[in-house]
Amino acid sequence: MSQLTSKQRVLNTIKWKPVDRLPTFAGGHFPQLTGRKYGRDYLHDADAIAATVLKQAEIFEADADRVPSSGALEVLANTKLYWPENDYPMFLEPVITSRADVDRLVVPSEEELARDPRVAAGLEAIRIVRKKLGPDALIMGFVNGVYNYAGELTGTAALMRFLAQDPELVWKLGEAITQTSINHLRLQVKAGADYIGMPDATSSPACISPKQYAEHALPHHIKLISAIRETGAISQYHPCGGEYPIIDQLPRTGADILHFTELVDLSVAQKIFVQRHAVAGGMDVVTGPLFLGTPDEVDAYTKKLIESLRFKTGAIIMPSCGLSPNVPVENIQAYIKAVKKYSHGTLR
Amino acid sequence: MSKELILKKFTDAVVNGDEDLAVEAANEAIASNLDATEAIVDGLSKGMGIVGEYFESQEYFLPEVIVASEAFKAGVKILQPHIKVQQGTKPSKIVIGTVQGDTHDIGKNIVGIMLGAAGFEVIDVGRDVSPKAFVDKVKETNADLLGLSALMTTSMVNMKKVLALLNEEGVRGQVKVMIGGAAISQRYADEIGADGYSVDAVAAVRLAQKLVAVAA
Repeated sequence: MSQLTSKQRVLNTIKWKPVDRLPTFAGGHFPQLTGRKYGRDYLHDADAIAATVLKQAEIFEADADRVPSSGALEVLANTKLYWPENDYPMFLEPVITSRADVDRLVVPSEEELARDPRVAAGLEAIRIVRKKLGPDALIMGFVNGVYNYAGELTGTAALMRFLAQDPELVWKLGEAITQTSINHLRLQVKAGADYIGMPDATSSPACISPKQYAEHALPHHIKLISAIRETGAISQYHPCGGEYPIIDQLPRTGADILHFTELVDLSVAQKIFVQRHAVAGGMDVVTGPLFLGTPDEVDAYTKKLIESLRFKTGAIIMPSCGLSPNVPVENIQAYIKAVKKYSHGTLR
Repeated sequence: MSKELILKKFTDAVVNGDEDLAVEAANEAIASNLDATEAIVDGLSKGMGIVGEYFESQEYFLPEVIVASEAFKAGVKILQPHIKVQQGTKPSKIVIGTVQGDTHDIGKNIVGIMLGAAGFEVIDVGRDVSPKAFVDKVKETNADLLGLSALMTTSMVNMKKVLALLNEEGVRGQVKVMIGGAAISQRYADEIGADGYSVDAVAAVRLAQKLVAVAA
């Protein structure tokens, strides 16, 4: 089979059509590659963000390039964030402590979001990357999952208490967050993203029951993923944390790609979702060789992973969760090269 | 009302996450001159033990654990003054946090919730916490325990640095250190000289109770 572009390869993977090789993503963002640190200044600097993405595209040669997009929750919360050095920003105090707080939330429109300096920087970075990499590149945007965001606004323990005692509060909060995220992802697609990732650890079975997931979280996920699909972009959902108890519910999300943690065997997931959803993951960030191993060990690990797959399409090889910034660059390069080397060929 | 019925009411209140019932039981316990410590151990804590078992078997999840712990605390709040008069006890303090380089904190949050529910005073210093910040907080709070969490192999190496700094600052002997997280094992705990490792949140509570009992 002739060589496909990254976009063709991923689209074929989603549709379970033949591919020249499995797609592979780097799954992280590493500002240190351009001499920068993750933080407030960086996330307000479109040129800096774009420079990192372009550098990663150059040295990793993966099939998708993720542009960090953030800031929408801060606009919804109308509250200042605390910015620790070299880490993600956070709210120091809970923003939501009562129904009255939820009732006061006003969902920002696309125009209002686009005026926020951090949101605007992310959007501009997408435009820059799209212009540089051209139409065949696959550019990934990002919105966080509804419960992840809700937990940031209430605190995780309070969110769980609300879910038990006042699920209507959580539902209303979820509606406001979901609509904000929909407005944000639409902006990202308009700026040039053609792929949106959405992780949600706080609605996973690590926190809430499969029944609670079905009643209180899944409807929000369905709405958000439906909105992604309406834009024409590819949707990826990462139910981050002990996913097996809800694996039967995941098809209802409608996500094109289900990205699993190391707790789910990618080869098993591929067999479960054959001809229905693409599955992603496989590079174990917890106990795999990515951090402490050598490139040769990463190569061998990746070879074994690919050999475990029953089908040579319908799967994307990427880290099983977020990569820490101190993962050696050569190990990331090693697994991407290994995917290209060992998955090249025809369908079994 | 008989002692047995009051204790059962405490247990039911916790298992069902019923704060009002816990308060009712506590007031009845005081009116009946029931020993406050016995009410906590054989009533409220027994309930939390059942909740822990339900959590372990995935019958309960965090929302149920949270409301159970609220009921537990509501009962303890009323009983607490009576414990002080009788026993002079106070809850053990534990500082918890995710070590530097790791922003995954769901696991740490779950452990914090379970420890709080079990009656520990939990001081959560957050995620991506430097060794110095951990040691400073241990000194400031005079904590009995320190819980370090790391999801990834990339960040677990920083646990060793926390232990080294505790030694340097001369406070290692004052605090028991327990570690946990997906990448952690008993072998790693032994290697870095931690006092214990737990595989999950329920085991973390058992370990904390054991370490405090040993130190007492």
